Amino acid sequence: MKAKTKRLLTLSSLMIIFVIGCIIVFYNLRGNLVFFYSPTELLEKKNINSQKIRLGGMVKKESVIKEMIVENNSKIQKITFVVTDFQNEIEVNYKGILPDLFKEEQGVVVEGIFKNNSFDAISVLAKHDENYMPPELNDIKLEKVKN
Amino acid sequence: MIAELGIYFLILTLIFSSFGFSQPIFSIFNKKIIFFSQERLSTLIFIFTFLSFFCLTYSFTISDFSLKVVTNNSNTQLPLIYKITGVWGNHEGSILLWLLVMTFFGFLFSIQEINNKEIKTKTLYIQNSLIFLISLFIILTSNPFQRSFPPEIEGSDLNPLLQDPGLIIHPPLLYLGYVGFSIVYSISLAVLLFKINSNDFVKVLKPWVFASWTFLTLGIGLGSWWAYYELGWGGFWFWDPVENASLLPWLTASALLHTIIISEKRKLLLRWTLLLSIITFTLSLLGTFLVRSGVLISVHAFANDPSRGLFILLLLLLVVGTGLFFYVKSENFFPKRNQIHLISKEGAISLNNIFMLTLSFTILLGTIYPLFSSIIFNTKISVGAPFFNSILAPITLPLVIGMIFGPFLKWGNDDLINLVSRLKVLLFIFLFSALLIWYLNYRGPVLSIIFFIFSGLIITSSLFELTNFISLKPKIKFKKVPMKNISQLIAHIGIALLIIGATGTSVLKKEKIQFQDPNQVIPISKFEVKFMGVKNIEGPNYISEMGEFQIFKNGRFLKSLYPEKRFYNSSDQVTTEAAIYSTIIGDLYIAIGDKNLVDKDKSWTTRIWFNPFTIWIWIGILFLSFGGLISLIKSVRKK
Repeated sequence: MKAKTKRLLTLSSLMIIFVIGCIIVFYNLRGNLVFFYSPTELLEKKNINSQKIRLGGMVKKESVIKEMIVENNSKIQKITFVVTDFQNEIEVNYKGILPDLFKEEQGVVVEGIFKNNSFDAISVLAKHDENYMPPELNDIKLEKVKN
Repeated sequence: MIAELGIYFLILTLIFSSFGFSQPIFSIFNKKIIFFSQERLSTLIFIFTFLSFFCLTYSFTISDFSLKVVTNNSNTQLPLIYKITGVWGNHEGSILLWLLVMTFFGFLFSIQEINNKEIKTKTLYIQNSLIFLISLFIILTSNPFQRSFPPEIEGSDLNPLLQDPGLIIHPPLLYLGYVGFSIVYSISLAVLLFKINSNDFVKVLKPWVFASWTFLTLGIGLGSWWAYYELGWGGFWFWDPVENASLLPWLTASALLHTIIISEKRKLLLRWTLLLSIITFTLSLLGTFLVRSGVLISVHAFANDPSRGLFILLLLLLVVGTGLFFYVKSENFFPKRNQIHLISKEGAISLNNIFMLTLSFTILLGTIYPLFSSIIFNTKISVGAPFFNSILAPITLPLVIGMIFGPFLKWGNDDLINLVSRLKVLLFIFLFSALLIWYLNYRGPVLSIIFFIFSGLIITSSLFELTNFISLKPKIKFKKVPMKNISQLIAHIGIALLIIGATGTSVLKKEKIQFQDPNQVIPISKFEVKFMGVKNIEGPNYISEMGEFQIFKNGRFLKSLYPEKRFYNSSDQVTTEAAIYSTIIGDLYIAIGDKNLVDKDKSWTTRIWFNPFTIWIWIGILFLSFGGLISLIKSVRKK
């Protein structure tokens, strides 16, 4: 084989591997994207059943209810609260322990599934810093200031 | 007054560091004009920055609330140690620390004995120019000595999460790693820019690569450890953009660590080594500034402080642009020698590089994809941990296989049949240990079995390598094992332990969340956890609800654990202090939540994890750092 053909072969096979790799990575990326919505956006969407999404907004004042339920013979804490963007509200259910920085009238991001107009949270996201705001929430805040 | 001194020293740093680039420009016109020797300059700049940093630290210790940073990040009730660490618990102070470390490395480099004076002077040109840019950045956009008027009476406190021993040393160590690569970059750019015609730049480069890599490893490890016990979420790695940002330069630096050996031994891949140096420092810069500026978390961070974001972007473009430009221009500068065979040590290391870079660029993609998506498609998304995990596993496996067989390959040219016949015994041991590990875990998830087996093989093969240094005939004799092999061996075992720990903690963890009554026993794994109740205690600047748990194993009492929920008055914030019982087979990790609000019910929400093998993550990281340290000592001594 000539050196030139050999180089061409190596290069093209490398390219093919590279392209296949890229396709796999992007396919993977697409599959693992979690979309973020505000309550208003979420209510406008009709077709997001049983898909994991994130919902962000403010925890409505005096909306946090903590109660005890019994599941599989052990007592667990069930928490209900309302996430608002000052236009629309969505009720969120969560079982477990809330992160330390969870507070009423503070920003919150919950991840979970939206069904029948209520949101079952799998996780309430912890933040590193009390001043840290997810950008999406900043938008909501800015809009609130504007209105 | 002290604050004014601080800014004064900072300006002196700025002025003097400008000789870093003005000197070479002037000497184009007239070779005789020499303002300062670059060595002396480096010492001066280091002293000035140190004094400036000292002034800021002093302002923090005396709680000078006329300074904005102090007001926002400190408090009179704060213990002294956290007043001091508060200096780097904020954007302005941490960038000043970054500058301090950068000047410190410049200073160390300037006093290092290097035979090739040309490399030394020209590297310092670039290092000092970088220092100029960073100090300009601080003065223009992130001045820590900004006054607030009128001064506040009390500060708003350091973020309680940061009031922790882990945070005392985590940022400085991480910065020693990140910023250490500035010297690596400076050396590489000096070689490319001034076309320094010598092959011994690899020798100059080597100790700095090892030093920075070791610090970066320790820094990331400490950060992960801090997140593990401080955030109270039972995990050690969350694929958060901030964490990814530190992993990126670590991966490329690990690739660099391997190629630099080829460059030294075989005088091959010299340009590639230089390119990796440039990429690594670029990623360090990207990492620090992503963390500090919020560019990544939000596009709108630009809107909040447009000057800061823009400056960062320009700096990054300048650093990477200059580096790449001179890299491309140097194409014909190095002799072309493509003598790398796939089946050889060089070949294995090249493959290692390809996989390392693939891993690092896919992680980069996942990390910044949300940014692109929000700009281009205007959709708000996040890339979840499953993405990172799904790319990590398939890319780690070939790396691990390389780690198992790579060290046995010969330099130059080797062939597989020869390799197999040399490793007959080892392959037999592999089969045996793989079966043993499989037998011990066969009920577990497939992924964990695969990773446990491969980590086991890394350890076996590393130890087997030692048998090369024992001769059985005619008499049993132990030869001295070269330092290079020892450091590689320790580091590879470190990776194996890290994989075992990470696999155990992420794949096999068990979690129980419930309301637990006093005296109620919750069984988890092989332990029983008994809840004894909660009492209130008072700390220096917080009040705490402290739970007591007794750990039993087969009815035998082992230890009491005291997880806390702390309430910090001054910042009105709660933190969780998890309590951890570490054993070599796993950690018992307990956090407490809220008291049950139902009347007369004395139960609390408790969260109990069993994290298998977590301790091996930290031991693995120590092994890695130790391996790096040995290589560092060896490469310094060689001169």
